[in-house]
Amino acid sequence: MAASQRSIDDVVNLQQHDSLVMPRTLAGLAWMRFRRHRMAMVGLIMLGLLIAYIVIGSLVFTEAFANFNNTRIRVQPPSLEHPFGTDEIGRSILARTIYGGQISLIIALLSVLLSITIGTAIGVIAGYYGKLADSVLMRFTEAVLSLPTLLLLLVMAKFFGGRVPDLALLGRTFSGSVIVIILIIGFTSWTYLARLVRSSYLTLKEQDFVLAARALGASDRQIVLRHILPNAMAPILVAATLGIANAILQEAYISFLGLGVQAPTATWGSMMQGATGAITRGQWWLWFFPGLLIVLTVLGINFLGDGLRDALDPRSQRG
Amino acid sequence: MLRFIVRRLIQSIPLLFLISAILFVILNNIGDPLATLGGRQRTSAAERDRLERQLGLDQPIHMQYIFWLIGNDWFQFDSDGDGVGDRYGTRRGILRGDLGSSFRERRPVSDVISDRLPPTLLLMGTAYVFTIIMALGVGIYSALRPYSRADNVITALSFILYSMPIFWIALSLLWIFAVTFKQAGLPYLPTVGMYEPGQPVTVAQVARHMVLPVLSLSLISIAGYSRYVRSGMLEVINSDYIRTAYAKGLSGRRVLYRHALKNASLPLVTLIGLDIPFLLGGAVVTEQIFSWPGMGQLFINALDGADFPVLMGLLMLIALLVVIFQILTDVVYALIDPRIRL
Amino acid sequence: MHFRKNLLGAITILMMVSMVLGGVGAQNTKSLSLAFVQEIDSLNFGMYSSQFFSALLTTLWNSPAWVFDDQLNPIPRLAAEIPSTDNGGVSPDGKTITIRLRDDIVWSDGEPITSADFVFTYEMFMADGNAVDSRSPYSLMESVTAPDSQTVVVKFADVYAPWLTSIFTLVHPKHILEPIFEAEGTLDNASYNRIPTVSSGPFVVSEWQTGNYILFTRNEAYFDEPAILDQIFVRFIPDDAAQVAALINRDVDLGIFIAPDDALTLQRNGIDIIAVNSGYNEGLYFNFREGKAPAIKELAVRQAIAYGMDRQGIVEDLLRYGDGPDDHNVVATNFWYNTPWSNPDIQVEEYNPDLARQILEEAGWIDEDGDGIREKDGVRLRLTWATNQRRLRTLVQAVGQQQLAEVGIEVQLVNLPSDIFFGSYGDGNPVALGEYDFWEFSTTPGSFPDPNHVYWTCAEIPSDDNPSGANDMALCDEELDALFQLQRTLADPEARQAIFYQIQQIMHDNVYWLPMWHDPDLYALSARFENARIAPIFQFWNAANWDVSS
Repeated sequence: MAASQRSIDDVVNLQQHDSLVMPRTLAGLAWMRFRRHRMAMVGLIMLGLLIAYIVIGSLVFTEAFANFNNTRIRVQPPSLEHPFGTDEIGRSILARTIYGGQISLIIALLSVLLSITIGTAIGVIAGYYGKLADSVLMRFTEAVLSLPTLLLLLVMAKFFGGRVPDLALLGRTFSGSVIVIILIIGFTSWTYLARLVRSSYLTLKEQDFVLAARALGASDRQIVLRHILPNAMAPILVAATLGIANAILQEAYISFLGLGVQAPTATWGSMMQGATGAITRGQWWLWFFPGLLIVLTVLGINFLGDGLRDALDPRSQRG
Repeated sequence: MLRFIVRRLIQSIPLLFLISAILFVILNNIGDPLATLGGRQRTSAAERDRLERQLGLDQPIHMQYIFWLIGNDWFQFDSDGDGVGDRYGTRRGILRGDLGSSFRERRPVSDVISDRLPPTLLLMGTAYVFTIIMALGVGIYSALRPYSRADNVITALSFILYSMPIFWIALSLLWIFAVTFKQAGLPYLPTVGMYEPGQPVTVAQVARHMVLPVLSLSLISIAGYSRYVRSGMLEVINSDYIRTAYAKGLSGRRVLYRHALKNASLPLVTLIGLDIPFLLGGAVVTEQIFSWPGMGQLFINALDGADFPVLMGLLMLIALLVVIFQILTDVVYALIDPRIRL
Repeated sequence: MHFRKNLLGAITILMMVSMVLGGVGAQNTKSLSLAFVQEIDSLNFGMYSSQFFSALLTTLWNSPAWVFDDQLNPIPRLAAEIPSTDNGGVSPDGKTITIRLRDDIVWSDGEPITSADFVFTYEMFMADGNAVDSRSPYSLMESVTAPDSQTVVVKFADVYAPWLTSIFTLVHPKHILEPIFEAEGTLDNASYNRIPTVSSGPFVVSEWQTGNYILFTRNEAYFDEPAILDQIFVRFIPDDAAQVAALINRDVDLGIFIAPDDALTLQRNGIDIIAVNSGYNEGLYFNFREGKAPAIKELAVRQAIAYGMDRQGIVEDLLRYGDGPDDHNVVATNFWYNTPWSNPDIQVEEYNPDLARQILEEAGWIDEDGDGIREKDGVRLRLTWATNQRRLRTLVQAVGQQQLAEVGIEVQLVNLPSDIFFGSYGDGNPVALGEYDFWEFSTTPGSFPDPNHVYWTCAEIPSDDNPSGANDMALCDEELDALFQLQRTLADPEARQAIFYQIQQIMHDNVYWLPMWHDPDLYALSARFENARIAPIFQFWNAANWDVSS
């Protein structure tokens, strides 16, 4: 977990170069680089396939089918009828990974959205306005950073656990624990981004184009949102991409330790939590498929994120 | 240097206060230590009232925080339930070195934690040394032959490892090396614990028990760090001063170890310093799976039983470690890189 | 890179050497290892621990007044005989119990065990300085006195039928603890709670390696037949999968709370599985709280659940612990199933979805809009089923949900964290506050094997005045309540049994409680473990006779 956050720190450095060298043609150049980056394309294709899997899959199998159980065919190994086998009450693991995957990805996307919002807001305020706001916010950021994320997540999961009621949305019922997980991942993973955004704002606000905008009478708001934010966007984008991979893993960790998403809602992570005993029972299909999907998704995102970073980094001459 | 350290320490005091206050409020609300007292029966109202009084849980939260901070030996609490304070507290507070008493184990938190500290330090230390050595080895190896087949394989492997949850790796290792190997009649590794009870504790025995947890803890980190070493090395190798060194006629090896390695390892130093306290996160999962008697397990147990004095002690200890390691990292960084002045 | 190769080589050699060295280790002592999935908090059960695993260990190091064997027969330990009305041990009014002690009983340091130790134990439970987990049942006593060194007289304020299974299950050494109590004003911090200084059982506690194991070694001064084993290791393995692996690898000789699926794996690997009935039954509890859950208060709805769920199928498929046809849990018939108090005339409702539908139709629950779920007066038949987050329960919920949907009942599933689910009204537990229609857990009559229970009594309904009442169902059936009150005061077992038969009939006819399955504790035993007669309470009562085959 820590290392992909670290790569965000890299981006800080890279970003400062970018803004100096190529303000205009960045996007076009980046896409060229990105396309030449073989791994990134592989990642993109992997993610495309995974999304197709959970979207087209849910057109093939209904949610009712994914929840349909028959205890007479419990823990059956993979067969033509059930390509991924069946679980402890005879549900199709294939169908469950489709719907579990949807929840896993929803959790990851929403929590990243939340953490990006918090991180950007705090970074912007601290970096642009500085002074008291900066030192208060940065002390707070340090306080959150001083504790390992997983421990903090577990404490928060316990704190909120069972306090959030179930939520009906789009005709489906989501366990309250889903909302809890989104909130706690969002609330604990914004720190790196906040520092990142802060440092780009610290640099950017002294740039000529910002000074020019100010001289022309642009308000702080306009400067912050219209002039600086687009220039600080690249690292945020990379951080968001890699953040999704982190969020998927974090959800899996909390669910594995029993404090995550609760039944009846399933995620890839919670499907694996129930299946840990299966390792000693030799029922490999119970944990293999949801685990494989986690690994593939995270892998695809890491490839993509790596490609994005390289694309946005003019110094890396490769491909 | 000394002035720098002292200044940083002083600066971190308000930070630690802030953390402690936030944590205290959260931890006091994560569950009810008296709900079942860990048993299968519910605690009755009368017993509950009595225990709350005797353990000081009937006090308002700000008083509890003050007791945690400076102790309660100046405060008379009510032990017999007649509404009148009749007994002075015995706690001295964290500022006087007393972390309070565990609700579950009914003994000082400092004892509870210090029982668990050495195994965790041993496991983490070994995993860390192993990680650094392997990461340097793999990273340098890759950097010396960039984009070769070997490098591509290593890159792909590290991406895959890096995308795996640690429990997935740990359980697979457990299954392969402890269970399947034994069934196949091959030399196998023990499944749980730190050593075999009943046999003399030898280094070899502990080492045997450590193989699987150390591997589980290190594989992901090796994957991550080796990428870092590789890119650091590549950058240095392509830089002007290395070219200059070669031009001066220095041998490849010499250039590599004298200059390139030293500079490429600089970022690693930062990572190591900042990551050490965070490894405890991975320890929670690994210790749970391998029954390693360390702080990760203690954390999970304390969380289960809402034993907040222990949780408070553990988390504050980690926060303190983070602060210390941040300072240490800066110091080491300055020692390695003469351009930096503290 | 030679550097890397050398390093890898060095590590490989190091590992291999350590494997070989570690594999060597001669053993000529008789020793057993028990696996616990939870590390205990304290050995002083009752005073400073409420954990099941702590209770298990008491008979290894402490001798109670008497124990119960695996057939639930009382066997005297410190007492010379079991007090009864016949031998004068129980007074005619049933309130005074006189225990006569053996004259040859000693602590492991040689000091005699006397009635003063009993009185001291009572005093320590009641002392204000001691923040003990529970004062029950000592708080019900009027006095405990010692007329002479071998007689203990216990006076209860009222008749307390379950006294036999609850008093003096541990007795503590006055000569060790009194000086500590006098010096510190409390026993809360006594090291005795972790490593008892002296023992009165077949073993003494010699070492507790936190997070690892507790080592018990033979008590050479034991007043009875000395233990056969030299030592017992209690190993803490806080992961089910790791416990199974350790059992299969023969690293441990006993495992507790084995999940049925794991039991199946273990049996196929030559590990014995035994089921010990400790009175636990899993069942559904219904919400009768006023102003809440109107549908579930209808008998027809509860009956429809009873007939509409294939409980037999659930136990056969999900609770199978062996390959034999009967190697699975059974559906309990009542709350006291498999005890002498169980009414044999009560039968389990057979799975009959058609009958369930018919009952609902007759009660006016009809699917008017054709969506498969019934309505009455425009209200949908939608029920919430709460339980904790235990894996097995969540699976059973999913199965039940589907079966009940087939008879037209929509069920919403709720899974709460255990400390909330088992919390009380006063803690804001939504179950006790009546937020759900029915909920599921497993429990035992409070002082098993005594049948006394307080769950469905009116006085136990939790409220603002009684925030930790046990009757979360808020059921107050006056006839049932009267019977529960009556059985408590009956000293004659047969008369008491007749009352329990009546209680069960009422509960069955009204579906006040719906049994899911009889829930014995599954133990895994290695083949070399001999004489393991695990009992329902005082589980390790015969530890002195435990042996290992070579």
